[in-house]
Amino acid sequence: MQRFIFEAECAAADAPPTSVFGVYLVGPTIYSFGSEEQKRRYLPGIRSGAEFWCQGYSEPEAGSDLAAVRTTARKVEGGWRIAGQKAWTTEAHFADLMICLTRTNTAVKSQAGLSLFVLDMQAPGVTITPVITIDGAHSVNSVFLDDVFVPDEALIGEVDKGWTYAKFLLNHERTNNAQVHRSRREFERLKAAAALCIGESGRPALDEPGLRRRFAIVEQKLGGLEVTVLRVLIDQTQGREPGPEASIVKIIGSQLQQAITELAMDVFGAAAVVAPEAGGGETAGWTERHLFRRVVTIYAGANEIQKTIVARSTLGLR
Amino acid sequence: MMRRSAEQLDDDRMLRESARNFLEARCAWMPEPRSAAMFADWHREIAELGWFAAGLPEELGGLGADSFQGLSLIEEAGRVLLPLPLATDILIMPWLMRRLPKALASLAEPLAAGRARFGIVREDVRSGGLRHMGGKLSGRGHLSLDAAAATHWVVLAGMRSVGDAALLCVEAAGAGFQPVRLLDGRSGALPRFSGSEAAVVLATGDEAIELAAEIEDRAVAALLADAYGALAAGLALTVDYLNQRKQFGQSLGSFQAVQHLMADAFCDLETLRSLALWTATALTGEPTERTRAAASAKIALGREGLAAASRLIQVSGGIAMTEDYRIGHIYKRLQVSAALHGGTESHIDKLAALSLPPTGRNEG
Repeated sequence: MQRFIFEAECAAADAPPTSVFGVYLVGPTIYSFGSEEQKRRYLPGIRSGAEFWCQGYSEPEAGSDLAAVRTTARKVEGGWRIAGQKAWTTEAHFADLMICLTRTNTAVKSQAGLSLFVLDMQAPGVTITPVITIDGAHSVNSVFLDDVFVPDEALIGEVDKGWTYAKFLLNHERTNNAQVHRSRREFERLKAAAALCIGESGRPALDEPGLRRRFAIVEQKLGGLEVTVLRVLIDQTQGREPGPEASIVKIIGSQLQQAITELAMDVFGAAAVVAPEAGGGETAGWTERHLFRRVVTIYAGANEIQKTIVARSTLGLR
Repeated sequence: MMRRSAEQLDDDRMLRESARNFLEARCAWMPEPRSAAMFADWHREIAELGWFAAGLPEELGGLGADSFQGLSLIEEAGRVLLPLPLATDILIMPWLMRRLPKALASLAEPLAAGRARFGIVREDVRSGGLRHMGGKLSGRGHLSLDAAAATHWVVLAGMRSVGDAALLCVEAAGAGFQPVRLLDGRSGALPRFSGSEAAVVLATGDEAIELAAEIEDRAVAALLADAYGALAAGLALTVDYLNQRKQFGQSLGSFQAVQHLMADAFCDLETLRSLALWTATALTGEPTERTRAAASAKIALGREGLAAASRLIQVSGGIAMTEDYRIGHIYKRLQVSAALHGGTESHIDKLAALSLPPTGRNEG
């Protein structure tokens, strides 16, 4: 709840988002499952922002089907040798450290033989290749791990328990996926921009009845999501198991994020399709955000995966 | 509201359980229409259970229940698609009697006992609205869900201008209406006034406009609770059906395409639920937020609610097209609710007006 309020204020002030991987992913993993030594070594850097993390989960053959991870960690004298390829690694090119999901046991069921390691991005054998995305920008990378050595102390928790830790986090962090504050702020900015931008009929875009109608519908959906996220948080703060609505905030939140930039494209019209280098003013950034926004229904477990989880676990369809 | 004390939560649960037990035992849904005698019996039993007294303040002989508890009774009635209109007597009149004790206190005991029943009559702008002059009313009312069975009408007249606005109470016995059967089998009324009805003026001007706005928002909150109850029960029924019905040698519920439609229906239902909760909370808050919440909720009823109901029909297949199966009746009930107290598009306009700068501000 405190984080919800903090994030609402950060979004309202247009503050840059805090590092997702360090603060939301690695921090909770280490303080929940890490050794005392790991807490002492890594948590201060996450808190101060001095150390930057990336997430080494996805692979070319393991996207939504994360349990299909193939990167292996082989036990050697004093540590482990990690070999394989990580895909879609966001900000690997800025990262000091990676939290790396690897296969440590091939003899057991796919989820059972996975382990989590901390990996130094400067270590010999780490190669980073940029992947340019639909918006023309570089934020994700392929990371090749060529027998990278990590010491024994780099293992988080126990061997072969990595899946349990990863799943714990997914349950713990679902409300974050809704991105409700960022959507609210972005939507308010779009309203302000649409009031200034002249539509095709020569009136302000926000005077067009069709656009007003669509703004109202996004307003209604956003209002609904804000309450749904609060319902999840209230259950959490009162120590109740998350109710069924927890499973849907990612689905609805991601659809809404897309609806906002889709609306922006219609507000700005022709101005939004002029190549970015020629653009400027209020449309700057909207087109790129709109393009990259396609990812939100794909990452963090594609919405189709989420729907299957809702249908089977929440509704009990079989 | 969301933070209710442990004691309140216990009360809420007991109230809901007793309501559900009564409704399932006495008023379980069935496809055949029920007789007028049955309706009268139900109404008497519900009065005996204290549902109409619940929301009245203690000084008027009530139990002082809050609107949350009233809404949970309405939601439970929605689960069995109860054809009796309860919203006005449970959620609107106890509050209005609290607001206007001088004019309405004498009707509190009859309301609690089930002898007085109330209907809301809104004006129909397309036929010139309702005009009020010196206690005399003329013009036509909008389709009303509860005017046909009511002993008293609360009439919202002249609401387009402060000078004309009046909130009145009219004895239904002397007033005329055209009875209509609604799409979902419920009874509706199209009220009309000839100037000869005995009308008591409850409020005029700004006060009438403020009270009318809250009456409308409360009516929307009740429609949402009813729709949520109906859909939640329909979703559970559909899950059972999909897990039991086999095609191509496997249960329908095992097909991913069906699972995803059901997940979509569930997302729609929870959005509706969230906006219904927000509206319920906002009933005790300041008017702008209350109306904003109610408009959002009413849009959700017409969009997410109907979308969820149509998905339930789709996954159920042919059986849901039959008069004997409950899902089609849920769809029709929501279709009726979507048309009452302002349609979906008018609430979209209202929310646009409440959340966007006014149009034409750059002109002149």
